[in-house]
Amino acid sequence: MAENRRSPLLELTGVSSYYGPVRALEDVSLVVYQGEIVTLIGANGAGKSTLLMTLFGIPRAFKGSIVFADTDITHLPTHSIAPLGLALVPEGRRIFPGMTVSENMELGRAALGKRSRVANTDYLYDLFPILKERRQQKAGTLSGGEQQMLAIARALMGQPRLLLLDEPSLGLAPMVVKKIFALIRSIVQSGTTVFLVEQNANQALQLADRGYVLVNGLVRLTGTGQELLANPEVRQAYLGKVTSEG
Amino acid sequence: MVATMALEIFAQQTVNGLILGATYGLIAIGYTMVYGIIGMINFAHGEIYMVSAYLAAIFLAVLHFFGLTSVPLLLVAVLLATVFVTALYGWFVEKIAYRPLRHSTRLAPLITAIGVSLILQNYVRIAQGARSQGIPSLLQGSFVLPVGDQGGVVQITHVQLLIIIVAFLSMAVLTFIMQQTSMGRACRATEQDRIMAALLGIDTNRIIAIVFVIGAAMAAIAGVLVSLNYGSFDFHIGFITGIKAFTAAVLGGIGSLPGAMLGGLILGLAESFFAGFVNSDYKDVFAFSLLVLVLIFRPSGLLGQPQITKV
Repeated sequence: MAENRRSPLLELTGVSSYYGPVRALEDVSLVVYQGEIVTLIGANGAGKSTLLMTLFGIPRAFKGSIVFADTDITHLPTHSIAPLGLALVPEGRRIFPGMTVSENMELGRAALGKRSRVANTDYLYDLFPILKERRQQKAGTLSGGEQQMLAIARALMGQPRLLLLDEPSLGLAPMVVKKIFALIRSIVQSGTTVFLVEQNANQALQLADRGYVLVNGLVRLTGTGQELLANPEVRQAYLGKVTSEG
Repeated sequence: MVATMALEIFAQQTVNGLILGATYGLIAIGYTMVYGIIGMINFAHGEIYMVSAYLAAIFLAVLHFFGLTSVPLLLVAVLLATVFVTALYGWFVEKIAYRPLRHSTRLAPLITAIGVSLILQNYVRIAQGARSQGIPSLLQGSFVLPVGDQGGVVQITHVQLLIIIVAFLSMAVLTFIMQQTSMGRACRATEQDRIMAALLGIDTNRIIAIVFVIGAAMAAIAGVLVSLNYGSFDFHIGFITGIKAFTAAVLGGIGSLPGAMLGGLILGLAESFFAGFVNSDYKDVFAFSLLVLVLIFRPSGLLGQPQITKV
């Protein structure tokens, strides 16, 4: 399915990285094609967030190469990566709590760099009406779900080609999680490629075209969302289901 | 009669205190913004202020030598030139003494700050001599305003009026830049979460350099104004003024821009009233006692945000 899509948008080849003396990623290779939604699942501490941060050089990849949109970004300084069209909604959202919702959104424009002068603020306020309502409010006063939406909207302000989401469902009520997943679907439909990191394997795999399973810093399995959902190892480890075959 | 006297002293010391406080506030901005963005006390900041006083004297002499005699033009030219060159000093100090230690321990840049402070002091002492230097008073004359109905007066010199106007204008412009421009937004974002700012595409090293430049520029404005007012200075003035301005920053809540300005004004007024009504020898004791009292009841300063540890 992925093979007949266009060229790879993001390609990691043999990437290893360290957190201090601890090896966080080991020889990770993965690829995301334009227009796809790809998910990365794995247990706590498997290195999922580290993988996303390594794309931005925090920590730097120790070995291997990271190519985004035909540019080798392995050694680029952190701040020059977002302007290439790569946007991260990080673990814990990291909104700026002391600034208003609209200021948080405006900060997302830094990633536009020289690519475009036109902001898509109106489109995003239509997509997230609650943010429009609260745009003069301090971001720290928003609920968890609203903060997550703000973090996503801020990332989309930079009109990224690839949106990286780090556990957007973490700590949110099931109703809100449903809403966030619906939003992700509509973001993909509008033409943005999405790379979704999740612990919520069931929902993520149902949404994704393809998935990777990360175990202790190594890519253990890969396949289409449906294949992984049916895989006995995945079912047992991440979906909490015991297969009848044992 | 006694009441008129007291009223007169009160009015005069209010004026003096505002002027002193405005200059403390201008210098405190450098301490508070640098602390806000990289969490370090830039102990060399007082010396930057001292350097700016010398630069002002040099520019004044040079411009006068080249035949610029119009006082308003001279003032504007000296102010702009001093602010520009002092800002370069601020930028340069950050680049050579602090940036290489960005990922080091928190104490390391404090040590280099003390080193920079010593270097600047001795460099000025060698280059300009240890004796105190002076600049001619460009603005003479004063306004005399009546106070009360018993014939009391308060005197404001033209230089003092200039200090108040320029100081408050600079603070207003800086506040506008920080609150309304995209550069100011980027500064505040970097202050709140440097990694996230970089992830969004903000060059945080550039922002930190800008903060040092702004701090030095504000100190330079204070340096020019104070030199015009007092007329003399030596290579040591950075120390005590730096400590006072740092106190003002802590009093107002270190990290807070309005806090630095407010802290400066309160400290200036407190010193001035104590000197006017009680004893001018112990005005520093009073100022620092005030700091101790505020810190006992509000450890994060008047406008500071209490430190919240993220879980």
